[in-house]
Amino acid sequence: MRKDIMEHAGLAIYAEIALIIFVAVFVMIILRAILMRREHSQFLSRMPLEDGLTVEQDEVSP
Amino acid sequence: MATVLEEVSGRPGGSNPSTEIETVRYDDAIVRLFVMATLIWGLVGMLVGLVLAVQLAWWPANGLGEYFTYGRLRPLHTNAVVFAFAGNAVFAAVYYSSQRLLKARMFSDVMSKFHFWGWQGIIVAAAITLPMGYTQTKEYAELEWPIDIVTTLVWVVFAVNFFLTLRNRREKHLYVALWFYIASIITVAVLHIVNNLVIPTGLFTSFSMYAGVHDAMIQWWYGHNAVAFLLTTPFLGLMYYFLPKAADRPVFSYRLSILHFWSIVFIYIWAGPHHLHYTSLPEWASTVGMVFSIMLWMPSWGGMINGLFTLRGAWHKLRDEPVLKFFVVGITFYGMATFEGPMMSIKTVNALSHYTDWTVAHVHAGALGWNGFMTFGMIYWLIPRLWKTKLWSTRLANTHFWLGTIGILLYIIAMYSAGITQGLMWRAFDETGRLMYPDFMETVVAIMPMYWVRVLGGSLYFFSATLCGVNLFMTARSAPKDLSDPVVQVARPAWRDRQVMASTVNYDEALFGLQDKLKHGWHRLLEGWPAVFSVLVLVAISVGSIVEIVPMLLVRNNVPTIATVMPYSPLELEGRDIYIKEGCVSCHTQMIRPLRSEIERYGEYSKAGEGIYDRPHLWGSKRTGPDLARLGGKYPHLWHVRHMEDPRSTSPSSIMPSYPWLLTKSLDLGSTQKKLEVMMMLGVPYTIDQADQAIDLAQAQALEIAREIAEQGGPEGLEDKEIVALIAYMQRLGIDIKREQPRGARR
Repeated sequence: MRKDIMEHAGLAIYAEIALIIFVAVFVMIILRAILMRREHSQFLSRMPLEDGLTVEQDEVSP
Repeated sequence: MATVLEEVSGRPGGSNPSTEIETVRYDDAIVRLFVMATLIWGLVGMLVGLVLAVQLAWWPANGLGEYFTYGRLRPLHTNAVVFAFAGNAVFAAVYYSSQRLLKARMFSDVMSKFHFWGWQGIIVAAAITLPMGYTQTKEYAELEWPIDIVTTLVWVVFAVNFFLTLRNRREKHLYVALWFYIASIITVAVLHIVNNLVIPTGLFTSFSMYAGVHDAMIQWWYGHNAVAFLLTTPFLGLMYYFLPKAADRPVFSYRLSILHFWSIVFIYIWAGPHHLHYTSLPEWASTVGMVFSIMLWMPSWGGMINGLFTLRGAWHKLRDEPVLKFFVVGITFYGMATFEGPMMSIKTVNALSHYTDWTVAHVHAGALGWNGFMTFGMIYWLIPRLWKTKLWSTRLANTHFWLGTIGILLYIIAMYSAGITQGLMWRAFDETGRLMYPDFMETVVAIMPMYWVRVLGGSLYFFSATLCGVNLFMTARSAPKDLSDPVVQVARPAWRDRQVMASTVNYDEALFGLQDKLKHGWHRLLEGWPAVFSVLVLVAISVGSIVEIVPMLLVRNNVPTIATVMPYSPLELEGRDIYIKEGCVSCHTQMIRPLRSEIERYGEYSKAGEGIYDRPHLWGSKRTGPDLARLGGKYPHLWHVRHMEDPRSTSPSSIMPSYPWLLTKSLDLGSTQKKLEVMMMLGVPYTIDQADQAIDLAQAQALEIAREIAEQGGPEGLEDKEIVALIAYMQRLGIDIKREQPRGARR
């Protein structure tokens, strides 16, 4: 019963919609990456190198 | 909540929030715990792997008793290296780097500790239950349902702790490493739950919710993505954080890292069916898996290039810096394994490589090279920082690197050689059109020297890893007594105050605010919005999963039923559970591919309709021994008794362990009725009478088999021993489709 319903529901279109969404989102991400401003990507890429200013334990209030 | 953020802040700037300085203490104690656990479990997992390698090369090594045969230990090895070694390494990386990238202490120390000890508890439970034979048999998902529930709980605590730390962050933008962590946490949760859906039949026993081809499809969707989201994405996060730190320069291209992330997340999830080429999985699903696997080539290599190019201008540091050596070789192995993986997913290549040691070579290039070396690189970088003293011996670390590298090379070259040799021998025909090596044993004997080379390579890798343990131990011994948490000062982020103010604005101001936020583009907005970002990741992985799996489960055409295929008898069902308990599936497949050489060797190829009562499926992924899909009726019962007691008595050069206890251990029929009832609940057409009389039916069939064994000149009195159930099951394998009518009077 369940399988008959699913078979006649025309689900093939969902796979096509999924593929279109997949490609569209992908193109957006590629464009976004290409068009990203250089300063911004440089700022982001330096994030691991800037952990915050390390201070000695005793400099902090007790 | 024990402690959240220890903030000691002054407000020197008065009303200007941007000049405020906040003090953050990072929780490094938890990272130290995870690093130590990584090393300890890594050594345990590798040692078990070494034992397995010896057992394959020299069968008497299986003689330590029933709990230590190859079949019982193999899942212990894979679980130990995947979840204990790589898992703890991932957690060490996540806890260390996330706190620093977010400039916030982990949300809750109690949750961190619960995560740590909970995870170690799961590992101990695995180490006890797997040798005892409690297993779901699905690769990397062997642990039984109670442990799965605990795993879910621990993972949820980890996720909550992580996401609440994200909420408490002082850095608006999420660095790419964090994206990889987010994707891993979400996807592993989805995979774990879906693949472990079972109906319990006892405290440590259960039947899969899926049967046959459906079970296989879900399993390899899980299996492949466990590799993707536990062994790849979090390690890429690790790479994107620790490699720039070690090289002291930013990643080569941040743009490439964005593409790398989204491509991996979108594409990986589709690739699972490449594990099931030429099986009874529908052709379309297998082709989709292949196409997406080939697409993975690009982003994977993009990531590798991004990693290696990060070292531009720093290559001279490799000479005396073991950390970078480990990273460079690790990333190179990532490139090798991700080149090889798509290649092996091409059906024609797969026809040769599948079920052979080629696959074993491939996973070990990934596990030893990529996961192992990235982990060791990270550990050597972390040790002096976590224990606040110099590494005890850089020379020892360099020795580790060289011995480990030679170990990997010996291992994988041996396995490539063994795999390709055996694959070619299986398919070789002579000029008369007959199999050139019809005796499976010939193809095993041919690769034995390579199995010894693997023992050597594995020993080197294991020994080199112990050097890391020594180095860690000696460094920790000379560490200062007081390993207090590191303290940093960071500016209080202005964007947080803006959020507080946001509630007071009117409609116009809200619109201007949104315009201001979008000024830098939607992706940047997304990066500052982890909840939405996480949902998008979930959508990305769900699209592939749902499009691939749902039609498989729902469309009837995918599993054509066969009228003569009937459910197992109660005794056969018990025998199947013994087959599962002993881990037979580790070495024997039950899936004949529609290739001429296989049909010639084993018989008619396997059909999807044959597995509809198989919960779980037992198709297997490796043929250390021959396929068993058409074993039923091939040998008399006595042959099986002799073969189980001592495989060498029937196949002189067999490397299979002996199973003498099957002839002496009493068959437990205590839960047989329960098993039939659970099967009925899952839609298997047993009658209520059959379930009620399950024990009687099983005993009657056992008596008949025992009588035949005695008549054939074998030992008497086996009717209440485990062996009869196993024989009942093995004699049933693959015979239903040969019948013209369904088996009439069911036992």
